[in-house]
Amino acid sequence: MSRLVGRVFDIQRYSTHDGPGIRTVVFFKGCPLRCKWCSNPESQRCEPDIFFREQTCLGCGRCVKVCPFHIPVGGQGADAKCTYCGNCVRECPAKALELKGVTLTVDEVIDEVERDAAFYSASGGGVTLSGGEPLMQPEFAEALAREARDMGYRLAIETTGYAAWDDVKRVFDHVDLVLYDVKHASPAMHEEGTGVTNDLIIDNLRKSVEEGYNIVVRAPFIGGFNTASENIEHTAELLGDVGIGRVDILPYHTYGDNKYKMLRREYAFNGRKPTEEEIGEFRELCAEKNIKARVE
Amino acid sequence: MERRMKEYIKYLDDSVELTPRIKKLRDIFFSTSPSVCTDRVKYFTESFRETEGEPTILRRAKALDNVLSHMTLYVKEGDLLAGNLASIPRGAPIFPEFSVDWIEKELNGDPYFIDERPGDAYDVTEETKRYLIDEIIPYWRGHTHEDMVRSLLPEETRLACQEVKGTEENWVMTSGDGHTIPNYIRVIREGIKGVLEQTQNRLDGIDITDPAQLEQVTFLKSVVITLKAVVTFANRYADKLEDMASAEHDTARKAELTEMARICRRIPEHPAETFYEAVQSILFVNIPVQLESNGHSISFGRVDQYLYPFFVRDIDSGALDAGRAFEIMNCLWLKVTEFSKLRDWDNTVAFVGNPLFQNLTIGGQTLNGQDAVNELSYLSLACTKKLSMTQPSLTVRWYAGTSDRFMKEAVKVIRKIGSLPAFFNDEVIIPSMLNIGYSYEDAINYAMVGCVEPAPHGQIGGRYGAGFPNFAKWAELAVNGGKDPRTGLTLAPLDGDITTFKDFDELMNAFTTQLDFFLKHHVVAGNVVDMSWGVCTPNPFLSAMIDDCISRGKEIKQGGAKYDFTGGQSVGIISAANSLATIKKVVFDDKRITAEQLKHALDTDFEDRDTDPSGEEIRQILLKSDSKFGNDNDEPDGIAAYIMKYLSDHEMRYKNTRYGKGPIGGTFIPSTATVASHVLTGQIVGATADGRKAGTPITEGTSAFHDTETKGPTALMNSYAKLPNVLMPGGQLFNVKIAPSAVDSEQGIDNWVALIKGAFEKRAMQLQFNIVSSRTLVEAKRKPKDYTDLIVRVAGYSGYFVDLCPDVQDDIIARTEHAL
Repeated sequence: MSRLVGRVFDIQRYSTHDGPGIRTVVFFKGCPLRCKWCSNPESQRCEPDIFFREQTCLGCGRCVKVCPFHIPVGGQGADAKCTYCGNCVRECPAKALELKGVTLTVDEVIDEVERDAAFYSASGGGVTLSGGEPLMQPEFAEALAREARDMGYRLAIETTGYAAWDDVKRVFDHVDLVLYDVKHASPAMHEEGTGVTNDLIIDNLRKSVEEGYNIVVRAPFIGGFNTASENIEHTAELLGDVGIGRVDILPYHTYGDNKYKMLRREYAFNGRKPTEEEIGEFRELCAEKNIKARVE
Repeated sequence: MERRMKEYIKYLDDSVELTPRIKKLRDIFFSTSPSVCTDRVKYFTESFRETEGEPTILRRAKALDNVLSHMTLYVKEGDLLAGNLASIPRGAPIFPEFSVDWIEKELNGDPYFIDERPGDAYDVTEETKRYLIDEIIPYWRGHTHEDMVRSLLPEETRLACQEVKGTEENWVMTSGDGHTIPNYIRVIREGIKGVLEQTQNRLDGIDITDPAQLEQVTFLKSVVITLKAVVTFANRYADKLEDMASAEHDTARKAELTEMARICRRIPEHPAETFYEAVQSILFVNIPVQLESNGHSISFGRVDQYLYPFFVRDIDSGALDAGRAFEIMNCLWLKVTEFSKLRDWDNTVAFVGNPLFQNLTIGGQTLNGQDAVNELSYLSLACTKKLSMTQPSLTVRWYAGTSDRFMKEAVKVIRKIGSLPAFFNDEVIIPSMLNIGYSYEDAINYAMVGCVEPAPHGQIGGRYGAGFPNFAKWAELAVNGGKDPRTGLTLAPLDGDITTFKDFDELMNAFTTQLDFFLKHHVVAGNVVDMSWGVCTPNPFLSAMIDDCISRGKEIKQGGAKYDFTGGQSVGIISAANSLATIKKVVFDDKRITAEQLKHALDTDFEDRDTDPSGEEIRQILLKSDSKFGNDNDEPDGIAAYIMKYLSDHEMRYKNTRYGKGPIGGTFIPSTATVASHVLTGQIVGATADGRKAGTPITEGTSAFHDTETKGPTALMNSYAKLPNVLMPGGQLFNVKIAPSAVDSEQGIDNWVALIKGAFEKRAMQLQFNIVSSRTLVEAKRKPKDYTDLIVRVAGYSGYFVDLCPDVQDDIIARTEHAL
């Protein structure tokens, strides 16, 4: 029993791309990085966000009436005055507004996770902590991982690795699989793309491997950002040096575009999908270091 | 054993192609339109004119004999099997003894000319039209099953079924019964000869001074006539094939024709000795049953089990090889696609896609609980995968011992062709059958009939299809105090309506009052139909193919079958549950709108813009409220479960016309085998509190309402698994639409199998999938010519998308698509 609370923006059932089998993914809200290509922009801030689905909106204006500040239609969550009280979300007849980011207890999350237990065992799946950055809420992440594991579920975590080592360790100790992002080999370029350098991330990665955690590196592969031969070489070298055995290459996509629209934020990043040659080169160099690479 | 299995799994490889012979036979289907055939009606009527005054069952036996002795026979070029239902492939025989009024109306263009229908059009020549109008219809008018039903139907039942339409019973009033698995196994093992011997012995042993036994004489004599007629039918093929063989110049084909002639001379009269003979025997049982009874869903049972001993013997002796077995099975599959059934227009809407529901079952377990999957199970999957056609319907039985390998191959067939096979869970179906009186041996050997109706082999006299009780309509009536807004009729009055109900319990009571009333009349209508069938259209041949009709000396409708149940096909249960759960949440619990506001919005079909909230705002509140089945939400799921339990408790209390006359059972049983009736039955249901607009489709089977299941496939399965599925022995129907991109990888296939297994471990009963993207469907609707062989799951059966009526097409497009 745990009444410990955390900030969550989604619990997604039947997730099949965040670890093996059929999984329930708990998305933690809040992230220390600001990746320019981020496809889950609602994950970034610790505060709530509000999605506005313009096509669904009836234009009835009921949201304006119940808003303490009478923020106009389409301004919910985007307007500086908004306090995320949620009145508009509850009032909207068509559910064109959706509050992203609620506070849940560990038990509440577990109640939801438990519902798909039969499917985890049938598929070799389980639970994945994702985000945002789960390590930004280490206490909650650890409690959740402990509890879920006690119930017999396999645990995975998707992480940027950007956290104090103690926090990393207390959570990784309770998971079966770590999906660890490596976005760029160069500290400067990493900072350029994500807002932070990769020093802490690489350091934690090294320690995690030494600690014996089951690590799979996930490499977002973004045309024009980290696809240059030089970076591919350095990345492969780095991973080989650290002792990584498997890399999942995640080619850049723009599925998140619409989320920026729903947040009424500009999506300024000008990335492109990596070419077949670039992906081929990455795979080849990984192979040379005895790292299994596959494209997700 | 294992090595041999692998040899057969190979037939599922993408590299394996159909043989040129099979490809040619397959093309015949796509280059032939369905048409009206007069052979059956001609010889049937001819005989009837000569037998006036004799007992009906004897007349029908003689008429079937006349049909089988004179109808046109054909053998297609390259075909390895003989047998035809009409004078040309896809020809539909006419059954005037059931109903002629609609035939006359539609031949005159009301509401459509048969060849100009918006779905399932049939070619009909001017000559045929004149022949039917001038020679046939006048003879039968006023003397059909439909006329008899009309005269027997109590007035209150007529109002319930045909005015308010709280239960839709029309299709059984104009058609035959069907819905069974004849005893192919017996004919394969004993030959017609064995059945004939038994019948003759029964006749010889009759004490004609005992009136009870005297009564049996006519039935048994009729059986003898039909059994001999079937042997004559096969011998006519033998004659024809011998002629064809002697005229054939190609030596290989000549040998084939000679072998086919030998087989048709030998079986079905004598027991089959080879795999090939056994397969041919199936057709000589199936076709006469169809020509006799005008039913659909004359299913094939567990072919991979009962053909297996013949298969093993022939493979071991070298008389048969894998390739030949595959070709023979392909021919059986293709033979089924030649059959066609003409229905009246209204029922064409409910059964659109020209389905005959001839189900074929594979997999499951043996009597001692071992995995029953064998080489023929894989070959059956391969036939369906490679032929990629809608018939036969293919059932895969699953139990806790079914291998993942088999399941993976089965879902890959769906991925390839879009919809077949469907999956059935032994762990629920067998207990559901034990619960209503089946023996363990018969239950464990069940196969699927029609869409989703479990049945024993050769032991049940049909009667699964018994009209469509319309639960959504009852929810509408409950809200309106029992008064039907469409007709103004109040058949089951209530104290007050939604505006006066104090709480949800009162609403629920109002709903069950309607349920009680219409269920009662559903039963009355069903029994009236059965009485009329018993009087007007007894089936001596089918009875001979069902245990224990001969030993009891009784036709099926008199109580001859070993098991006998009548099963309604409940439609809109989830629409009703969603409506009730939504009223509970939005009006009683959250009080977001008042009952008056709700009622006004429903009365005006959400069109009133001047209210606050407006009609559309109210509709959105209702539609988007978290009160819909399919989201693993215990409240709506619990209401659906309650309705189902209530239905089971009450429906099972009613007796059918065979109760106490011999069969085990003799009661009504519930099912949700709705076929496509949810579109037809939705037309008479006004706006409902789940946010559904008036006249639009209600829910089919136990499937969720489209676009209201938003939590993904596991949540959907959990909702389904919460229902008391074991109390639905007539079968559950559950459709899931999956995006093709979700299953284009091995991982996607693994997860798909895990999803099915997880759901079945949690006691879901049946699962079927549509694997075509909405975009493709929209495109196919726009350019039908480019998509002639696109198959979709309509309901418990599959159909060619381009053949469906536009509103059924839209309904399929609208069903929620899941990304796995």
